[in-house]
Amino acid sequence: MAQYIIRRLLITIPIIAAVIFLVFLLARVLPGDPCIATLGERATAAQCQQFRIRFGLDQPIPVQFLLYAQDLLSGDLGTSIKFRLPVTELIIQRLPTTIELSFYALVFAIGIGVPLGIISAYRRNSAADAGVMGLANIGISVPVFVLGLVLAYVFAILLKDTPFALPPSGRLSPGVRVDSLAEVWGLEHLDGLPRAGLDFVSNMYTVTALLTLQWEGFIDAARHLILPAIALGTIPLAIIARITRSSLLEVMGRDYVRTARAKGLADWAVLRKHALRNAILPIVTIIGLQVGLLLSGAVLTETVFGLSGVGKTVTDAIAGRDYVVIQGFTLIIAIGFLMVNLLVDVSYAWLDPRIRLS
Amino acid sequence: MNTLGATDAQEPAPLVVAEAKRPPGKFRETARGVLRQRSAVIGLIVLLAFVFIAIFADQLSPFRPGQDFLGEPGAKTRAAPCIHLLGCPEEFREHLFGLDGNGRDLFTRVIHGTRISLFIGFLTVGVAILVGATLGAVAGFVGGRWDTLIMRLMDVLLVFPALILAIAIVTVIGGSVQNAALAIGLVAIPVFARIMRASIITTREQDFVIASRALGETQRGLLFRRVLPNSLTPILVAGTLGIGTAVLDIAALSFLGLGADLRTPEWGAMIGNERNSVFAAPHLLLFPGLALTLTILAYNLFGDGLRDALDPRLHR
Repeated sequence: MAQYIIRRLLITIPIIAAVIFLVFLLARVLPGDPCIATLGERATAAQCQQFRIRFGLDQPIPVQFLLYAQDLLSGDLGTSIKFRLPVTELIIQRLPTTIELSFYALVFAIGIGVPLGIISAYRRNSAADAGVMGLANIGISVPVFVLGLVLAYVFAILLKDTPFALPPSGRLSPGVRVDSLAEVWGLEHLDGLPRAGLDFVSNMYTVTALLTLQWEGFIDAARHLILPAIALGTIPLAIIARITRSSLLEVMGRDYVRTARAKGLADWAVLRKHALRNAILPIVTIIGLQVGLLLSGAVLTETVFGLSGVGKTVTDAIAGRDYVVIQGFTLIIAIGFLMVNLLVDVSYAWLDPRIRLS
Repeated sequence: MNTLGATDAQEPAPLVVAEAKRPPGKFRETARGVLRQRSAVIGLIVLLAFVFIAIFADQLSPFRPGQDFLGEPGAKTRAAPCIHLLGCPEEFREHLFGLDGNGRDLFTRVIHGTRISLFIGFLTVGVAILVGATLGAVAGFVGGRWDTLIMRLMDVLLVFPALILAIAIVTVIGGSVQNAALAIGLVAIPVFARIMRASIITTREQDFVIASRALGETQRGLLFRRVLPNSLTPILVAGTLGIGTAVLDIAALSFLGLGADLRTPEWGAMIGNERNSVFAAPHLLLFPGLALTLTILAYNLFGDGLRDALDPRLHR
């Protein structure tokens, strides 16, 4: 197993190198002069020359790439033009929001999608099956931003003043705050990497509130996450339900399931011990594939619900021609995505020994 | 189901006359398979209806998409639908879906949006399939160094989540409907390349291809007469399902303000422009949203039906 993981990690390295090169190229071919973009229209030629020397833009492209790679290795992703903040700082602020949102969306998708798929497979061709699959078809087809706006309208306007009302935007209600881990645990003197890690976790409000027992903050943050998580999780939910159904149907026709039935095992025991275990691989594959979809969807969900996560930062950066931020965030997203895929592959190997050994 | 199975199974038929003995009318067989499924038929009907609307958009819509009605009695920006049958005063002009943020007739714009979404979605996937399938076919059939080179490149492109990569591309080439379509098409290439390659590799190793090679068929003949025609099923299915995704992604880019501009009647852009009016004028989001969802749903239903008809193994 360890050998398999190491082999997979080694394959990942050249891909990461290629990704870094691609992202670097992307920033070079962007239209417009980075000097004008940074210093403004009225920058003089002399100022621009100085700017180019300062950021190494007067060097040949290969040298620039090496300089960029060198900065990357030392953990420097550049400084945002618009926010005047290091990109790493922005990532610590914004990435946790997206991770939190995607996590709850995925929990929603798996938690409802898998049981629905199982019911559909067990009651095959029944009204319940037809209903679930019909809903799944619609679920796959509704754009995230349409569903998000519809949910916001229903829960914030139509159900206003009922117990079901939910906030349509932001992460916390006005007046509510979640104290950061550094504040609660008295670790404000920390700096560098440990502090960055602490702040990173602190920006996932539900996690922090739970860890430090700030119940009011937890409930408020969770309530703000419900609508975005449903909007983002619906397409994955529908896909997971469909795959669970077809994967289970395939397995349930096999001899070993019939044998298990014949020896008098209860339905749910057959499901748990025999059917589900053998049907799980395609389900895990699909769940892994959803992560890319979640990240793409997060851009739209964050825009609809006014959450300042990765997606919103990137779209804002595009509007403000903030090349450094686009570059840094694209890189982080790609590497994160790569790591998730790696995790999925490793979990395959764990679930199916045949893969590990081949 | 069994009749369908016969068309796809590549049995070691009598070698020389293999082509002549192939069951005739694969197309008709597939069509019959698709039409046997209720959901696929619904998808097809909706799609045909949308194609009809797209072709006759000028005749079907009461106004021109750019025409604004501000200043007329009862007309104001984001006015609710005015339908005479439902009690809207007779002296007001009828607007089935109301007016948008610029006082333009929403019904007209939604109808004209059909053209853009259908056409662009089709074109995008067509180009992506052409490029992707060619790359995949070369990688799968030629193999060796070309295979490695092409597929590693595709791997790197696949590392980026589709919409994020499309956003990055549009940032470079500038925002417009055409560029959004181009970006979505580029992003889809690796997916089609992978599907095509996998399909080619499976077909390449089948008995009838080996037999054909043994009989002295040229490389080119092998590829175009034997392997390619028998490897098209997966890409056809992925393509149909891909149009739905392409329509969705182009709308998403427009929603973010990276695709169609304010003047173009594109559903995603219409929703994006008015997203802050969701509480005051929900109809501005509802109608384009419904149109978009219906289109994608129709493509998905039809694509599923096509897959089930072409892949008898899925019938159980």
